[in-house]
Amino acid sequence: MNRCWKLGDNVATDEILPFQYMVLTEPSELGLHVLENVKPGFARQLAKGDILVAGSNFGYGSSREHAPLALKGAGTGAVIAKSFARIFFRNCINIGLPAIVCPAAANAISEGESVELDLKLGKISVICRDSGSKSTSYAFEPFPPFLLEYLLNGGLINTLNRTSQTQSNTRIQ
Amino acid sequence: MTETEKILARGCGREKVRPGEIVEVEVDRAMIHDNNAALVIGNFGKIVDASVRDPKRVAFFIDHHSPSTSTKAVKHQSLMRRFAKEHGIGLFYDCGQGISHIVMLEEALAGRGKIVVGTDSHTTGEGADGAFATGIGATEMAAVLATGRIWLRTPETVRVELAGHLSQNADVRDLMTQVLGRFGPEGANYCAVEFHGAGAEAMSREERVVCCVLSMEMGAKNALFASGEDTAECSRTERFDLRTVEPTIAIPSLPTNARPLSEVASQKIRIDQAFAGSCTGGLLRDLKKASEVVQGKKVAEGVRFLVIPASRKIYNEALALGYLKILHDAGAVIGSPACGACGGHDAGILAEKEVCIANSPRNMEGRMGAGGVVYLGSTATVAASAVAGHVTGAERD
Repeated sequence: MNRCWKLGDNVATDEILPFQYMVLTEPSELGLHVLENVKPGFARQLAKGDILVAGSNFGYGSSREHAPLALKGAGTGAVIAKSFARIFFRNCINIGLPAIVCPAAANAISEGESVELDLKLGKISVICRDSGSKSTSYAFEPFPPFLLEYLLNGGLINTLNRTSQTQSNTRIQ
Repeated sequence: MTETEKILARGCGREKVRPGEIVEVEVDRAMIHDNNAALVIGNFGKIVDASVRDPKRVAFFIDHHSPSTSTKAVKHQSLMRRFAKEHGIGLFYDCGQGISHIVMLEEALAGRGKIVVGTDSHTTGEGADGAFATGIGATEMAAVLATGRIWLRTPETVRVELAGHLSQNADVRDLMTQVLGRFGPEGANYCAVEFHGAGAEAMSREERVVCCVLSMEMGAKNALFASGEDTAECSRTERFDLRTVEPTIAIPSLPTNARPLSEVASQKIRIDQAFAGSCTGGLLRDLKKASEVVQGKKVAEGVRFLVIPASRKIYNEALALGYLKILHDAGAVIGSPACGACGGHDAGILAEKEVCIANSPRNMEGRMGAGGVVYLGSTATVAASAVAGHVTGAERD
């Protein structure tokens, strides 16, 4: 069962992945340093599939894709926020990390709760830790179909490759 | 249509585009720098049968670790040189050439009406010459290299109307800190920012760069100076009277935390470092201003004053005009043209609890070193603080 971690407003990419680790390229290595200066030890606390629940303008600032890669490398399953800085949002989708805009959920979900996501329907359900049953749910605007495809394929590059494969298969036939 | 809408309409071959519409446009210029190049090249390598669609439209810059400061950074730079050679990318600006955003303007690699993407958020600076210019990530850039295209959501346009002219005491940086303060860190998120009015028309190209780069700090997708007066519908208009702009500081840890310099200066905040450089503060006008402020004076004891020209051309001009000699004699440390210091990538890293005053774009937590804090102000403020040893203005004690 995943766990939600709460973060505040305007968390900058400078904070998500400090500059000295930008020479790293492997998500698993980047993941060891996620939010290192502002939440020491966070990388060790995060478990695979955990969800970050942030305030407004998450991923503010620098275009470094190392920031969402570090989150992904550390095991983050998705980020829910009141809003995202635009380059960070694009970067998340392009690497296949769901970035979900849902102010109601970002306000209501408490640290330690578990959630289930339905990307196709645009639904976040809070799971009761004791019974495992779904309690409150929140709706978010579903992704445009082409972006949903990026997320389901695991990112932009996989999608490009699938599309070109489909096209070449069509040409052969 | 706004200027931004006209550019995107041309880019996707349509008569008209409306805010909110997703369009696919052809990219006129793609800029990649050494901090993100390894990820771009790595992702490009994962695209099946990829080739660079149009190498002439691609420009590589080594400006973040220049010269390299670690074995990993230097490997990434070698990788860039090999990739450029292999794929016929001729526009290669190696160590010491300067900051991508500024060199691209000097070399006319962008220009009015062009669609520019760069692996750097401050790519918005190209709007000084009227381009639609925006920052993207490494994976997306790999796809741009292969396809020559990108999807964009047509942004709402925010109009910033500038009336009057700045007083002698105020600088465009003071104005922009006030603009950022009014909008807040996401006040223009996803929006195009267009500068209009007599105050905008009178601005130099250097001042326009400062406006377009800093618009990123309120979330702008792109920022530009339009070619003429237009009356297109905008989603929001904000007016600023330049005559009333006073010296302004952005206190830690957001560039939008605008406070009057007078209020901050009265606290006599001791500094360890003053930094004049980057795409907003290493222009010729900054080196001129800094040299005027420090002429005949000395940098305060215990303070390091870092001055880094934004490009080789600017360095040469400042050398010929005597600015660098004045700065050097005052005790400043002159660096080679690059942008690393702004983000702690190479020179000028802060220790824990150290304080820096800078004219660069950002001061988020840890931006120049874990535990260090950064105040942002105009070049006059930075130079005066370097001499005083605490945050202060050029005409105050």
